[in-house]
Amino acid sequence: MTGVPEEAERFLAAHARAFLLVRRADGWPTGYPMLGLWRDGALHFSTYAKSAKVRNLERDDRVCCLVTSDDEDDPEFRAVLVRGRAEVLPGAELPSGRGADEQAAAGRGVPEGIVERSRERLRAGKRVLVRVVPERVSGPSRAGS
Amino acid sequence: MAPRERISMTEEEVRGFLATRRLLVLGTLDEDGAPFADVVPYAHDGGSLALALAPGSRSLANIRRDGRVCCIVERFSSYYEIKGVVVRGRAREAGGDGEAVAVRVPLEDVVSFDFAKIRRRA
Repeated sequence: MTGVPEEAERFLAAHARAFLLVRRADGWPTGYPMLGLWRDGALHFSTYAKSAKVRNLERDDRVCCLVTSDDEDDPEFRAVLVRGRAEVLPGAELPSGRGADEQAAAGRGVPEGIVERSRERLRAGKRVLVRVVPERVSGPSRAGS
Repeated sequence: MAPRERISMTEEEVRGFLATRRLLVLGTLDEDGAPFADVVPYAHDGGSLALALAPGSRSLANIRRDGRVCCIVERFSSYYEIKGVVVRGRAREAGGDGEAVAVRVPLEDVVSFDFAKIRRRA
């Protein structure tokens, strides 16, 4: 991807409410609400290494992500669409050893104890980092548009 | 019980939660099988979700080709109040008024979570 539109990039950097859509083994689409962190031109999530979503991503790495405003009742509610391929990275490979979603978690008021447990599990290899390098980005746009 | 079962909602709680929200994330399949997502308005009538899709939208084109969809309704007001419902079902067109096409998704396969049910550690 040569570049993410500036307005979309600003939105991605400022919002952590995200949804990760993938395809299951039976061909059905499925999705997960996530904390998403935009960093270094890619969208990052952390999740359990043995989770269904990791199995789904390893089978078919094509993903579609939506990053949205926090509050759906806000008249200014917007969403940015990020499509691309997902890479699953062991927690040990994280730059600076930080959990990918720590900053996102802090931004959404996740209790420190929960963030600390997530960090430990990343270091222990129980959690992994999912990195989505965008191929197509659109928005921010209103719901249903 | 598995962690997810411990924090899942009852059927009544799912219905109550769906009634309080008005937008969901709709996942559909593109022609090549890749997932696509959009935020769409919906209403809930007990047995199904009634989605309002824009006539020229990619989501609608996808559903006309392949009705398999997932719908995610989620609320995150604070960590211990996170609630969510994920519905998978076959979407069917159910009329429209020119401005929006109505699409119904039956509550066939429902997964839910309510973080208020997490047993908090000290």
